[in-house]
This record gives sequence, C-alpha cells and structure tokens, in this order.
Amino acid sequence: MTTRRDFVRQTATLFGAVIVGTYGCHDADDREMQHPEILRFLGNAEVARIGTQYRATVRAEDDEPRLRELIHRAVAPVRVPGVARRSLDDAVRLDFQRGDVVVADGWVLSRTEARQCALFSFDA
Amino acid sequence: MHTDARTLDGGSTIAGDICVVGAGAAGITIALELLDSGRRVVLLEGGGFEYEKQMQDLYRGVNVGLPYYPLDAARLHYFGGTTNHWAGFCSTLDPLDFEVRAWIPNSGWPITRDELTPYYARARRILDLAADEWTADAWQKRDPSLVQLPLDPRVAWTKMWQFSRPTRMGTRYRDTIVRSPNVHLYTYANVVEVVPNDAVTAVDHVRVRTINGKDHRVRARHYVLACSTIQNARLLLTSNTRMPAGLGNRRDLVGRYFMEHLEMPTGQLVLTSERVPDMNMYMLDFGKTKARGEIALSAEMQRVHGMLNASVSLTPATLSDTEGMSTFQAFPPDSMPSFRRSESSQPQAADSVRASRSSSASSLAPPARRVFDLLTRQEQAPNPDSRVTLDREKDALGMPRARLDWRLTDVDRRSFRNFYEVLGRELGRAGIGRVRMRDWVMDNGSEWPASLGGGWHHMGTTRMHSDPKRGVVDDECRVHGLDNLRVAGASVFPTAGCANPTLTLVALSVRLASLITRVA
Repeated sequence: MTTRRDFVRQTATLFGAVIVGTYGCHDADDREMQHPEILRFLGNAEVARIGTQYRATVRAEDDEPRLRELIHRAVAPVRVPGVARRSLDDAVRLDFQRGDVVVADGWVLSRTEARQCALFSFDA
Repeated sequence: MHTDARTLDGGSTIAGDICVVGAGAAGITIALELLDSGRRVVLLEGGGFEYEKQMQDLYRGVNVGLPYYPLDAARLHYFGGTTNHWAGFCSTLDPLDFEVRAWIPNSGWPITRDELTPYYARARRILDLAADEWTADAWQKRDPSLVQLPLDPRVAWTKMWQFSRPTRMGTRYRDTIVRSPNVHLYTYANVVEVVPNDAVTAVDHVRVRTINGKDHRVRARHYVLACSTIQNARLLLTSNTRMPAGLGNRRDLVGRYFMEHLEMPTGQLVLTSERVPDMNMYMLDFGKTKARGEIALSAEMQRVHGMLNASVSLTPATLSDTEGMSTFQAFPPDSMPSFRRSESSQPQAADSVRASRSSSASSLAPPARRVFDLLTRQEQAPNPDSRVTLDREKDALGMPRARLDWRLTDVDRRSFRNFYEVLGRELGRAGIGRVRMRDWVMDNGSEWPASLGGGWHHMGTTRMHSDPKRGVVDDECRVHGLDNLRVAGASVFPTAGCANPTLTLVALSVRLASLITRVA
C-alpha cells in the first residue's frame, strides 16, 4: 500500500528525473549543436574555416544565440527525445532531401550542419 | 598483302573497290570488317610499322587557342595509329547523348543509341573488352565484391567503364591484315589530296605522296577518310584544287566544332557513413581491373539543371587544399618526346599515367578509404568557333600544317558547378558523404584555371547531321554532296558524351563497313 510519504517521495523523484533529464538533454544538445558530425572527418581547422566562411557570407546569422535558435528550430520537427545526435543527423538529412544546401569553403553541406560549423567557429 | 609505297615506281596507280585512308582504330576496324568480303580494299597508312620521328613530324601543328598539347604528341602516325599509346579506357555513350538537348546548342545525333548497340558489341570484341555488360547491376552480379553506392537513380548512377589490355591494334591485327588476300596495305602512303570529279559530285582519286618524293594515285569506287579528327579536317581543307574552301566545305563547317573532354581535378569526396560499402566498384588497378564504376548524373538532372554530360572517377587521397594537376600540367614540355614514342617504350598516354598514379595511391591508401580525389570528365558543348584550320607553314610533303584554335564556352564552365552541387546534395541525402569542389569550380568567372586539361580526345571536325547546312557528313557518314566519300572516326561526333571516344568510333566504323558493303 502506498503511504502518503511514499507518494510524495516517488512524485518528487519522478519530477526531479524529468527536470534533470530535460536540462541534461539541453546540455547535450548544446554540446552537439556546435560539434557537427562532419567534424570527425574534416577536423577542427576545416570545420572552423567552413563556419567562418558561412558567417561571412550569411551576415544575418553571424550571431551565436541566433545560430542556436535556428539549429533548435531545424531539429524540433525531427527531435528524438534524449538523443540529440540522432535528431541533428535527421535534421541534416532532411535538409539534403529538401535541397536546403549551402556551399561553404567548397563543401556542399546541409544548412543545419553549416550553421553548426558556424557555431563551432566562435570557439575555434 | 603489304607494300611499302616508297618502293613503287613513281606515278603508279593503285586500284581497288574501297580505299581507306588511315590505319588507326577506325581504318583497321573497317579493314577487319571487310576481310573476305570479296571487295578489294586499299588501306593507306602514312607511316610505317614503328614510330619514326620524320613521319611523326607530319602531324606537327600550331595551337592558337586555349593551352593544348603539342599536336604531334596527341596522335601517332604509324600503323595502329593512336592505339599505339592509348590506355584502353572504354565506355558507351548514353541515350541522352544522342538526343537534341534544348539547353545545348547544336546537340543531337541523327542516329540513336539503340542503333549503335549491335556495333558496340562487335567493337567490344575488337578491343578485347571483357563483356557486353555496361550496367553496374550486371557487373555486381558477375563479381559480388563490386558494390554500388546507394544512389537515387533519379539523380545519380554508377556508369560502367571497361578496360582494354590496352589492345595495340597495329600489333594485334597486323598479321591478319597483311595476310589478307583482299586487303592491300600500303605503308608510307600519305594522302595529300582528295580529288573530285569535274562536277564535284564524287571523288575521282586520291593523290599519295611518299617521303622520298614519289607521287601515286589511288582509284576506287568508294573512299573512307579515317586519319583522325584533326587530319580528316586538314585533308578535306587542303583538297582545294576544285573547291577553294576545301572538299565537303560548302557550308564552312569542315574543321569547326572541334571538341575535347575536359578532364580536370574537380573536388574531393569524404565518406561520412559507416554503412557505405567497400569502394572496390570504383577503384582502378591499372592493367588488372576489367571494369569499374564512375559516378554520373541522370538524364533528368542534366535536363533540369541544364548540364553537359560528365562522370567522375574516384581515387583514394587525403584531405587537401591543393588544386591538383591537370593532364596538361602532368605533362611538362620535356616529357613530350617520350609520349610520342611507341609501345616499345613505356606507354605514356594521359590515362595510363593517371591510372598508374591512381594505382599507386590505391596501394598506399589506408584500408578504410574515406577520402577520394574526384576527377571529372565532362563533354564540352559543340562550339563552331573551336576549330581546325590550315596554317601557312607546310610539312615535308607540302601540305599546310593544322592550326588548332581550341575554345570553350560559359556552359562548359557552369556545368561543372551545377554537377557538383547536385552530386553533393545526393551524396549527402544518401548519407554517403560530403563533396568539396575546387575553388575554380565555385568561381563564376570566365577564365579557366591553370588545371585546365583535356583527355587527349579529338572529336567533331566533320560532324554528322542529316542537314547539309548543319553537318559535314550525313547519318551514314557520307560527305554531303559527294556520293562515294565517307568519314570514319571521332571527327563525325556531333557531341562528345563523357565516354572516351575509341569504343564509339570503333562501333561507328563497324557500322560504316556494314553500310559500305551494301553499296560497294
């Protein structure tokens, strides 16, 4: 039988887990957001170069919060809760399917990953 | 039979049913097809059986257009012709190549791809290619280690290439031709003029001159010019005794529309997926690989984006910012003498050198190949201003030398960029990888980069068209207005496609032999 104390404890635990999970997920998103998958293959210097060029070309997005917001918006429709990387991959794939591509430093990239590179370039 | 024309008495007249001028890929193919045909075939070769500097010098010419290879290095002047140093890269033209493409002025062949299919099969055997299979599916079935990239066929596909040994036609077929009772090969027999009848409705004879100063005549019922794209035009233009502008040139078309394949380092591919198959399908081990794939774009994409046809080969590499070397840059002037030499020395054709570079790169590449250099082979749009004319300087036989003014247009340039944007998008969509294009590909300027290069492929100076106003030869490769004169070789190509020309020109030569036996 569940006592009142048990109920309060369980509810608090569940609420805490949700809060931690949500914030944890956002932290992960933030980290993933500025580490595009192509970083593994192209390396820091190249990704920074792509990002810098993107920011120079798309001046309206030469702004960190703005880039975060745009990437969040791109990820939202394909968001897989708690799996930020997969969500970003899906957003990138969706860009390619839609033909939402950009050319930066010669690379043909999805809009989302170009923005990720731009975000990366702020800290590079 | 074989006769050295230098040993004939001066002023000799040689008679036959069919006179074939030139014993390279096209001329030898026609002679082979006419073996045991009951027709007396006179096969005229300007050189001998080996490379000779003096004979090769007859092909020297002048370049006045875009930077280009020395003309006497690009073609060989002895029995077997340029097959004496080709690299054996073969692929068929695509159905779209034969169609009129609204976005490419002067495109369209008067024949279809289907009409060529049986002749491709015969050409495949002449060039010793492995199979009549030209689809990636068929090759994957033959060899399961050849796995295609998962491309959307509506966008991109794997275009198959096969590799000849490479067959040196002069060596491979010399005995067959020399022993033939009905084909009479004359070496050192340079045709210096095609002479028409008084009404200029047919060829009366051709004038032959030897390097030791003897003149002969050849009379036949039918004549075929098969002495390469530049030399076919040069010979028609110089045959101007009765027609000041040259034979078959009433419309000022002879020599125009000279085309090359633009073969250029264009970008890189980085594989980003773990699920991508082994890339064996796209690798080349020169001398061993029988077939490999290149990546091409669909007919629909070419239509939608107004592109020329192109295909891309992959070579294992490392990430690089360098622009890469073109075939021109890979052959500095001091390497040209070796290029002119025969198979007895190292084969030095562009393809073979590039292939050997690829091969060594392949053997050095790490097992997990992730980065590839992309080399694009793109047709150039037919351009009337890209042309062969006659120079004032004459060769040792008194013939004006060829003067090449190779030119390109904006569509040639723009097409590269469109191609790479579509390719990059498709490889991204399929989760295969990312494409990077070279700076010059992105640049919208009209200047060509230092890496401008050609495939050593000469095409288009006597283009085929049913309308005499738009072509030098008709759909049966007969010179408009001259009943008994035909032209063989890549000079009749109205457009170039992205396949190296040898297989197609051999197929067309098989077809031409078949057509001529119906009337000869």
